[in-house]
Amino acid sequence: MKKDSGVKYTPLDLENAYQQALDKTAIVAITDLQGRITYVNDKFCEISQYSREELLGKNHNILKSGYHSREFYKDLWDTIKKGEVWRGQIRNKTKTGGYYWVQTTIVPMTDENNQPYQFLSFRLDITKQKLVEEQLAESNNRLSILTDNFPNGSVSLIDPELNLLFSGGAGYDAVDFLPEDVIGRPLEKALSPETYTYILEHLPRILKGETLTHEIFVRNRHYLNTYKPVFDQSGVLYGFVMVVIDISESKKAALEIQRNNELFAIGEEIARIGSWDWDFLTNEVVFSSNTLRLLGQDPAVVKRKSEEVLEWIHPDDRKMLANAFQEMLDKNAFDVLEFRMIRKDGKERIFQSSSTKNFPGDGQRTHVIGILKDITQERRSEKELLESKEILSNIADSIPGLVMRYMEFDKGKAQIQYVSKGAEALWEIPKKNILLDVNIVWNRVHKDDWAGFLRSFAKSRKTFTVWDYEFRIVMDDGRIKWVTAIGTPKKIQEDKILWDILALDVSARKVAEEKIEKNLELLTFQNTQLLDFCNIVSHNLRSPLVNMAMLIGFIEESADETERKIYIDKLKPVIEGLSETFEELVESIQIQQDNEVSSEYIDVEESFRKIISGFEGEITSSGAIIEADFSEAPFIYYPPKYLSSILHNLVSNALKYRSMERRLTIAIKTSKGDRQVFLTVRDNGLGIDLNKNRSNLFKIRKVFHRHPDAKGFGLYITKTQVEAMKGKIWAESVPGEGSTFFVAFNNQ
Amino acid sequence: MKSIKNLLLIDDDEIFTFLTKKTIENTQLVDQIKVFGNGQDAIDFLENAADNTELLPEVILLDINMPILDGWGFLEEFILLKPNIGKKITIYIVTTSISPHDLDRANNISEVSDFVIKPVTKTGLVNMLKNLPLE
Repeated sequence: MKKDSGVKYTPLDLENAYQQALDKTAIVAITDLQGRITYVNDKFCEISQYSREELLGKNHNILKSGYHSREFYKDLWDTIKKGEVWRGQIRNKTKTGGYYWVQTTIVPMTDENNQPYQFLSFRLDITKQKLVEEQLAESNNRLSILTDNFPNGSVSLIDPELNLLFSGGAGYDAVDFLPEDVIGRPLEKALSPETYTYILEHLPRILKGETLTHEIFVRNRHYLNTYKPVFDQSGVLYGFVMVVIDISESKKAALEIQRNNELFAIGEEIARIGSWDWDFLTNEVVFSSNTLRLLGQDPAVVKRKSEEVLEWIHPDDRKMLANAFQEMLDKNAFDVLEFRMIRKDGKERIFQSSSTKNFPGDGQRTHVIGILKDITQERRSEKELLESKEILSNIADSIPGLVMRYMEFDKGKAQIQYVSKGAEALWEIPKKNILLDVNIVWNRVHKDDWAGFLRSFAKSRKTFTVWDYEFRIVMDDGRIKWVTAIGTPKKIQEDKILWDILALDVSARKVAEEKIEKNLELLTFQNTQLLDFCNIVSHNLRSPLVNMAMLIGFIEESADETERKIYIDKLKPVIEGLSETFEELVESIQIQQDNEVSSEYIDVEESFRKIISGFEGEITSSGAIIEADFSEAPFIYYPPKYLSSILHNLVSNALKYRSMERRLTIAIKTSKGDRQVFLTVRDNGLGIDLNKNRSNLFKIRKVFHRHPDAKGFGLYITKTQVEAMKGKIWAESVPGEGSTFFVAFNNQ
Repeated sequence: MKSIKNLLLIDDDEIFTFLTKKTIENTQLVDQIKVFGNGQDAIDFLENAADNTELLPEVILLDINMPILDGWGFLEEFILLKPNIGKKITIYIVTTSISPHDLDRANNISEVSDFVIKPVTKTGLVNMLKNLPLE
């Protein structure tokens, strides 16, 4: 054995003493740089179970247990090859396959250049200590696995001084602290006051060896706590185990079952439902108490004999029910049955029974269970609903008009749900045809009313307001009916509208309205004429009367015969004028009252030629040019007498009020309007200042020119003749340039 | 000297103007009476005589219902002419009209002093001519 430098100067006896002591306590070995064993002491041989001969020259790795990682050994070798001391715990394998733990110190022995040339190792046997450690770790591990997975609660070990030695379990998930936070601390910190109080109160009994259990409700949960004392091997109590189990879920489930039963009972009562269970071996029926209540029977006596139950069924339905049941049992197919039952108070109720077989395990049939439902109210409501539907339908059918309900879909499609009988009479379309297509109804709308109809309908559809429209419908033979319709749109879905439509025949009212309108027009017209007449009386009749009165006054006062003669001579023209005015008025009144005057188609050209011939002398002498064009409207439907008069007056005026400064041109033409013919008479004569005279233009005895023949009667009578036939007359004129008269003949 | 130098009688009714002229002459209240058969002739006269106070009338008797330019038309023209006329002229409407509408219309024209319905008696005329409204 070589001496290392540290003991070079030590006396030999001391060195021997050390070596002996070392050999006795430590496992010593020396290996070369490659790990080959060059020296082992007895202790080495003893623990490894190899003989010295077996070990020397062998590589140290024959003792490798395979416990440590490659890195572990790499670290070891890296350290000692650098010449440094390595310390650590190594598990080695014995010759027989057992293992042992050694606390190891490897000291490299170095040469002058500080390079290791061999390694000296000292080992202490720590196998026993290691074993305890391993067992403890294993035990702790197992405990942790147990406690960490301890469902719905926790397991804790508590010493008699109430310190928490150990604790764990899934129950910690429910609290805001971890087992580590409370282990080793007073129990008070880890428990609810309620639990802690219980433990304090019961500690003497637990410590005496009793196992206690109690339920507690804390933090909104139900717990079942168990306390069991723990003794060591020698029978000395060193604490107790507390097991806490969260039983909230099972507690809740129990509560729910209870509640469900209550709800079921309430439900049965509210839904007028009862249940029954008929055992046809024992011939007994078990009812839910509500079933009995529905039947007016004592709800406490839930078990009844079949014969008794049969008595409760309406006599007329017993046979049917018995047959149906037999059939259901035979076919093993259970159906819903409806039958009447008589309550104990004698009242008849309608029930519906749904049943199902209920087999015991082996499939042998012993009873049928079912639900009994009181549907008297439903059946009554259904009946009433049916009746009210029928009444409504009868009412709708009795309405002399169209009552219709239909669903309008997007894209204009519609599905008719109801059409009244009255629709047939009004629309003159068979009901079955209308039911096929709603457009058949709207196709009748008059073409002139169609645009307004669509507009109003679309507005109602858009705003969901009531649709209210009056329009004409045209029958197959061209007859027209006036219809007033009211419709209410109801939005069912995004693109579905339910329409309720009511349309009534208002033709009669329409005719009456038209008549009233006509009468009103006539009245207004006559009223204007009356006002005109009042003016005529005021000016044209009163004037001569006043003059006559004044002249007579003068005649009476006058003494001179010559003078009186003068006055009397003056009376004559007054009376003549008065009588002339009177005649004119009579003529105009005749026109106004002449309802009998009949119209005919007049060839305007022909009528005009006759009139022109009457003016021939005047036309020739004045050199007037007449331009006539009736090509656009050659005919006018009018009383011939009036048309001649109108043409005569207008031509006469043009000739009479011609300008002396230029050659007169009269242009006459007719043109067509909408059911109208217009007559235009244009001249280049004197013209009239319409700014001053517009309101008087067509009034009687109004003259606008200093012309000896101006009497103010022509235009008045013309206007009368035009208006008598609902026509219109108006004029345009520029003084000094000429006038144009327009006449509109209506109803052409 | 008579209190009224000039009087215009504007009326198309020849009988009435003849009789009225005679009646006024009999009252001896008016120097000169001029008669016009329509409003336009009267306006033309006034326009020409606007700066000649000797010719301008103190009183006008005006009919409503006349050809060419009626009484209303005359009044409209007269109002336009008035600033150029250097004399106060009293206008009476003398008409056969018994229409309340005409009376209303006349009342709304400040230039019209009175609305007289024909026939006009001698006494009536004297009252009108003697009681001319003051300036």
